[in-house]
Amino acid sequence: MRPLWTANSMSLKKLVNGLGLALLLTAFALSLGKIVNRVHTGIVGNQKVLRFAHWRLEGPTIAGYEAVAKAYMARHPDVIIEQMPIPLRVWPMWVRSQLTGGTIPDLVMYHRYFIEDANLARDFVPLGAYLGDPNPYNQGTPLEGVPWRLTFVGDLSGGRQFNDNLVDFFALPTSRNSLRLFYNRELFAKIAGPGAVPPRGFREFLALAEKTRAYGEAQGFPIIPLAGSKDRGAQAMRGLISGLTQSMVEKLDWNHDLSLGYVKGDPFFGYKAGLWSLRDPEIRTAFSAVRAIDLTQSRGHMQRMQDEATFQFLQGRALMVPVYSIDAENLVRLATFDVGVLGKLPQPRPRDPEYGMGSLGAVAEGGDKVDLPFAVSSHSKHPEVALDFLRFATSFQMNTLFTKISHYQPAVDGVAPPAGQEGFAPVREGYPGGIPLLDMSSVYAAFMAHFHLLSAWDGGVDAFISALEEEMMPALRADLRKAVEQQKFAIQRTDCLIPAYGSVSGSAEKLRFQTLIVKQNEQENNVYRVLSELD
Amino acid sequence: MFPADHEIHCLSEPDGRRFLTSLVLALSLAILSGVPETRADSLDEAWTLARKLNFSAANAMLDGLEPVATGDRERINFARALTLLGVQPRSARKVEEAYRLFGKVVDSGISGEILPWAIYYRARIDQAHRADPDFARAAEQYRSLVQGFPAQVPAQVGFVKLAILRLYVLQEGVSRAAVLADLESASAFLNIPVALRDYHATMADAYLFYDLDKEKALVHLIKAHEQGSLTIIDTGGQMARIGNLAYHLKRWDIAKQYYREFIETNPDAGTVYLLRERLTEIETADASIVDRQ
Repeated sequence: MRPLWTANSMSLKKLVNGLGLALLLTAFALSLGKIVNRVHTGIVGNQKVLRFAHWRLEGPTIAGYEAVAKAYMARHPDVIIEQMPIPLRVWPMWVRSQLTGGTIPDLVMYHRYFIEDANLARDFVPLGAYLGDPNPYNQGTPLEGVPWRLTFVGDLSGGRQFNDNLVDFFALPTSRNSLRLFYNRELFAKIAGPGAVPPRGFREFLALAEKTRAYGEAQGFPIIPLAGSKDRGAQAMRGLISGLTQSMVEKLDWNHDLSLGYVKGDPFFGYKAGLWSLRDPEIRTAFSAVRAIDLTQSRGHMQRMQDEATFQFLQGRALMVPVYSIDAENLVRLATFDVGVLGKLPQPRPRDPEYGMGSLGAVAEGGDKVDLPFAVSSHSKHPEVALDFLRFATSFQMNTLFTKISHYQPAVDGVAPPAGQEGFAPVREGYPGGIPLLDMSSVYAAFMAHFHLLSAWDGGVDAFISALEEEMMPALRADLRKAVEQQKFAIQRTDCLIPAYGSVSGSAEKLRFQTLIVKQNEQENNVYRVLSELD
Repeated sequence: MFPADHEIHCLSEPDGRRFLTSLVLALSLAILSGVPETRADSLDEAWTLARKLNFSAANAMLDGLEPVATGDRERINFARALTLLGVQPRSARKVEEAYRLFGKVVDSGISGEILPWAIYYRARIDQAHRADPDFARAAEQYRSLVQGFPAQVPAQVGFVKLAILRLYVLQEGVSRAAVLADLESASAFLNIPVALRDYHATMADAYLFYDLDKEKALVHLIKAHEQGSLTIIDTGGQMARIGNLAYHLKRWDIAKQYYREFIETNPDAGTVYLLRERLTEIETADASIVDRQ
């Protein structure tokens, strides 16, 4: 005979299992219902459901977007807004599958690495036609009556929002991003002494690096002055070379736009005509400054990822680290010490006898640093609501709210940066940058192939220039040819688009028709001008 | 571009109703399969697909389309040719077929804008779509457009294309200065703003690129600016260029005017600080002249 407790236990087990199964099935049915309802209608009850997806998983960012969504829902009770934070690791695959399956959310954070032009044209709404009108949510603010486009920091022309091939805007930013140097305040006080002021100039920066190394050696615990990595290192070098060749703009800027763009051939035309060479004093000086900065970083830093550099800093093994402002909140949160912002990587001043000959002053930061942009899906069930929410989220008041909660830099003009982050603000009192040497991929590859000569303890500028010089002309040609080939492809595609817009009578389509013609002529002028010199 | 409210409601029909509707529609289509769909709807839909860069679907849709009214055949051929040019992967066969289809439109002698557009696109294929471009033939067709249809958009835009070819590609055995002068005298017929703007912009660039005449470049830049700017692609760069060129030519009044306008409308631009300095320099020089007087 089986004991009673066993029989009871068996029925109890069955009951629990049954309940569990019922619960699971109910949850499954509810979830399925919700998903089916969302996918098919975008409406729950009498409310329209709007979803927006992004890859920023930090708590303050999610809270910032949530606050904006709640404010919108308070004004529009017929709308429900759902936020979908997706990890960056799976984001590319996730976006692709959503696009393929036709389930892409109403608004999506955009980056050209993840969404190709063909998808952009097919699956997202061109925004150019809406940017000329004022944003109605700016009423009663300093931006009342200002065209939507001009309400952002900068004019959106240089950023990733405008697609040159499709000749339109496809996304609008919610934040601004700038690369700044951060430092360990406690370590700094130990190294530089109590009451010491953080370095402002290039020379002071190099002196602090020397002191840091000496302090580490004295403590028997090596300390790296600047925690470097591959991409931040390239950024730093790019900035130094651009800043220390500013005075060369005048002689190379044939079309008087004060910008040396490699796509329009400025560096190539000048190099071919002998207007500049790697042996010019300005270039040599820039390379010397790159070497000086490189020596403040750990050996092999150009092979490291940024995470490793940040880890070195957080462990107290490095005094300073370059970090983008949108990652600053994380850095401060993770650090067990007080973190300060130093500002931009110091540049030699124009009067610096060793490094300053090509500098006019700080390099101005225009509007190309706006970030975290959202695009509107053309498959949205409520595109007019999605567009309206984008207007709302990029209004003066909502960007103020988002900035306050997320601690990010504002994307909207006139919105105050978060307290204590004034160092992230764009540099306005500055001059245009000089030669964009490292913006060119083949030149950059040649530069990096010989970089060991420049950065070696016993290396130097001369050996580096001799090696780079041999590859310079072919590299300049290769980069320009590649740029021209891309433009030729865009020109061909524009040909197929012009009548498609000419065939309809709407004012937005008419504007796009004209814009395509103008942009194509601009690109065609460039292509044949460049080819006349390349061939 | 956006669906109206009633369309949104249609999209959110209950599934059962949608299924029934689909069934009825499918049956109706099956019964009516012998009747061609309306040409205008299909053409519109093909252009809509083309605007979304879905050239393959647009072209496939046009392939079986039968003409109904007069002029339909040419309009369909034109759209087929154009969408075929956009289908990837590109091939010489597709390009030739597109050229042939545009040729059929040209040979039909159809009236209206479609004829000059077809000539224009044959020129575009010769210039920009063939693996081995035929620039001379393209130029010849642009010239025929200018002669035959001077008031039409494709002829005026074609003139700009011709100018670009003559300035940078074709070897005419005369100096670039002579080509520029010839283009200036031939441009009097231009009256469509977008073509005028691009013509003047092209001329200004060429004068500067060949370092021929900065004064003439300045005049052309100003004329291009007067045609209006498409702010989507130009947020004042043209104003800044006029100011900079005028500054170098010591044309202080022009420099002041355009620098002021640029700074006022583009306060965040990366060049503003430098341009403010230059403006102050000019204004200070003005003041000292007034003081001396």
